Amino acid sequence: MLSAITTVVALLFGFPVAFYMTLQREPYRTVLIFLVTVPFWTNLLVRNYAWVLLLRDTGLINGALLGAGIIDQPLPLLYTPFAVAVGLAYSFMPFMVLPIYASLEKIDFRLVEAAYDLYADRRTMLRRVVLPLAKPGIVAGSILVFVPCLGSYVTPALLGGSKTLMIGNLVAGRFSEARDWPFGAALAFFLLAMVLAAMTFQALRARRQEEGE
Amino acid sequence: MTGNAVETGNAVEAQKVSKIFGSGPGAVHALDEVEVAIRQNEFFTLLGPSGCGKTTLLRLIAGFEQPTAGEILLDGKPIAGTPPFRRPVNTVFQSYALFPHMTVSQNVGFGLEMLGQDRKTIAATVERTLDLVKLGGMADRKPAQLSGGQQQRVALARALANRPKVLLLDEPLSALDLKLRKEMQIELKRLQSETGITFVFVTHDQEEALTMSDRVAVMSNGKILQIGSPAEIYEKPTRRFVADFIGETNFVEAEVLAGEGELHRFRLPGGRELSAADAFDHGVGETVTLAVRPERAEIVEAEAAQMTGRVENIVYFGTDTTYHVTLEGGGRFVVRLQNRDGACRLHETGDTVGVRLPAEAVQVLRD
Amino acid sequence: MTEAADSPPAQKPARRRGGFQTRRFPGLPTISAVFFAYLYLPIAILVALSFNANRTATIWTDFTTDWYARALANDDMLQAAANSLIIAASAMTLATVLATLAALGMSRRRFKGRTGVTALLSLPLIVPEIVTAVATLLFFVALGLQLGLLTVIIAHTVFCIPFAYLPIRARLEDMDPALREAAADLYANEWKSFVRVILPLLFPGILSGAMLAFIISLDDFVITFFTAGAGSTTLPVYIFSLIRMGVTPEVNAISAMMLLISISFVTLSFVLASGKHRI
Repeated sequence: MLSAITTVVALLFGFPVAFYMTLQREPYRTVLIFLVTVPFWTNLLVRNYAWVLLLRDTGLINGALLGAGIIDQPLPLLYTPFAVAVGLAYSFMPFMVLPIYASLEKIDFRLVEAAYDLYADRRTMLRRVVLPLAKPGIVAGSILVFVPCLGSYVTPALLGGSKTLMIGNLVAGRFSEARDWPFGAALAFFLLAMVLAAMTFQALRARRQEEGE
Repeated sequence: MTGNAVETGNAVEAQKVSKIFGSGPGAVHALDEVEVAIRQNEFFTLLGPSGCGKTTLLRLIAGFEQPTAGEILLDGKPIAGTPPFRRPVNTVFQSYALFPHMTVSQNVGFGLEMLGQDRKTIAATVERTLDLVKLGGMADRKPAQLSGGQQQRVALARALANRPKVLLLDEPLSALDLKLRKEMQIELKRLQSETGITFVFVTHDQEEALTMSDRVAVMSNGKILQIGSPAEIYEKPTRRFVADFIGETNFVEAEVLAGEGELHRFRLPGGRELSAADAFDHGVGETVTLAVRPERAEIVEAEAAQMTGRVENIVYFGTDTTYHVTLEGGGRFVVRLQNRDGACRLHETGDTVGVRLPAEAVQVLRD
Repeated sequence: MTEAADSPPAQKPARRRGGFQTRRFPGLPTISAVFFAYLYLPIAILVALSFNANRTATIWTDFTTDWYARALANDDMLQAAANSLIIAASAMTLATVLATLAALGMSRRRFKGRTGVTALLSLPLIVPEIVTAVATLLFFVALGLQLGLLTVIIAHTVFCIPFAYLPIRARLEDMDPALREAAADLYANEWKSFVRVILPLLFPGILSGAMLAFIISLDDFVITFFTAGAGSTTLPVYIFSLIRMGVTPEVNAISAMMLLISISFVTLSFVLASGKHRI
């Protein structure tokens, strides 16, 4: 489903950024953290609306492509699963970056130096030292992105139109338009169960990890 | 709860005080029927390794914890049930616990303010106390603007300003570097004699305990093993733990041959005999442990010695040199000789030597 | 990151070329630059377009503040904004007081079910908003409460509590427990120790908690959408209805103002939090 795609996209983007942040020195680092956090506190609605402006048929992206002569028909960008995925990834990116950053930050940089000292190149060092140590953050970040994606409502409503429905919109539709409350409630409970399952999985993992140490 | 106040002349008294944290199989017996009497105006030190219960005892006196059993008397009066803010006792915390949002003088005046004294009196006392700890001129700084040593002095001043009956100090010097620590040791001793307040000092540092205290209580596993003056604790330890914890000690197992009169006779591992005083009157045939400080033993000709062995290792310390001797019949023995007249190597590795134990150097332990 | 798993094992010869820097990784700055562009470009464009005189919102023609003037003259908009502020202020106050009490209660003593309570307190952070929204709606309907300003305030207070709780709790955890003991040791009873020591030290946490609660309440759309009755429309709900009707520069202007309010609030709380820490 879309949530899964979004999570993977956010991870591929979020990890390098978080890693980049840990490599910076203060106070530059604090500024970066601040920059990542700010969008999270701004209005979700407004942020998604900004994407409407970009992705519309008459929006900036199409406008630019048309103007450059690359295409002569506007690409159908808005009201597609693609638009929803972009919007979701955009909305929940801080949830991915911050936990990964938190776990990366705890890594003693001397470990990286030790890896180089023991003949590891960059790739090997990343794979054998940084990734395993950042795993808790990666898992936490993935779940923190995946879970709100599941229940998202605003993004699909604005960017997905009527074609791309997600559970959240289904629930909302049952309550606002169809007035089919029992079915809506059942759907909501199903959603809740999925979220709790994801969280339980995470909690169990965390516990196992603690015991392993 | 006895309730009848008996004038004992002691500042603090603990009567069969026990403290158990938690319950069931995981319970921790932090204090086990501790008995101690701390006299008025003395510098009393609770010495022991971490986890021995010394801090717990201090916290019981301060009122932060309640004893599981037993009673604590302050000035002869039981204080069970009195909250910390009504006890005439003040604490210098290990972390100092200075209020970060208040200035130095606000910190120092806090207790007096809580006691409801008027501003003028408080201001005067604060100034006097800051002078006492040599912090005049720092009154308007915030704790974060002070060095570790200065914070330490503020913590002291804050406690002393209230003129408590008893001042409790919880490892207050542990965060300072060596040089500052030495300075503060002298400083604390001076403050104690100037103010005449009873100090109860907790530390795991034996040197600190020996240099500052009037009396020391050595604790281990929730029990007080020995109480005495620094010299008594060092020269006449009664327990193996005390002898081992303070300074360096050689332990020698011996068999009691004759247990009558002033000096008892013991047979040493090598078969030779030795006389020493036994305060515990062990019976004939029992095996006892003898403690001998390395600097009290002598290296002599094999014929004149009680034990013989081979010099295994020589370590040079500047003022003295230690000789590690492997004894005939097993066991190691360390002798420390002062380096006088430039003669720093009286013996060589591999030499066969004799070790003589003068009667007054041998301490017969209780356990 | 996954393709790194197939990379050949490390070459034995040490790579000690001149200029090898352990802290530098090729590509990272580029990716990060793209990332921050992705994060901020849409917002920047939104703000830029709100000053665009051209109606189509795609072609830049001229700088104008007309749309702001028009938005600020819109009575519906102003009514919604007023509602938003009332709700956010009430929810902030209630949530902060409750969160402070909860944090103090939780720190006092270890009691049975403490972890359970912690989990319960953070649950609203995890449960999808839409679920909270319909559940709250069902709850109010079951109680027979008339949907209006009051129901929105109640709903907002509830979901703001965890946001206010977390910074206060964090501040409490950071506090040296010996400070509380020191106050008691220096003759302060529980009340005095709370007023003179704990509250002043907790204040930055309470402040940032309150600010977070305010922003969260101000920005919330989903829960308000479901629990607001006629006449209690908030700004986000109003914007949503406008967007549904179509993109207009007026919406851009209102959105840009919303952004400005949130960002200035966050910046303020961030500066306050880091400033207080230094002293």
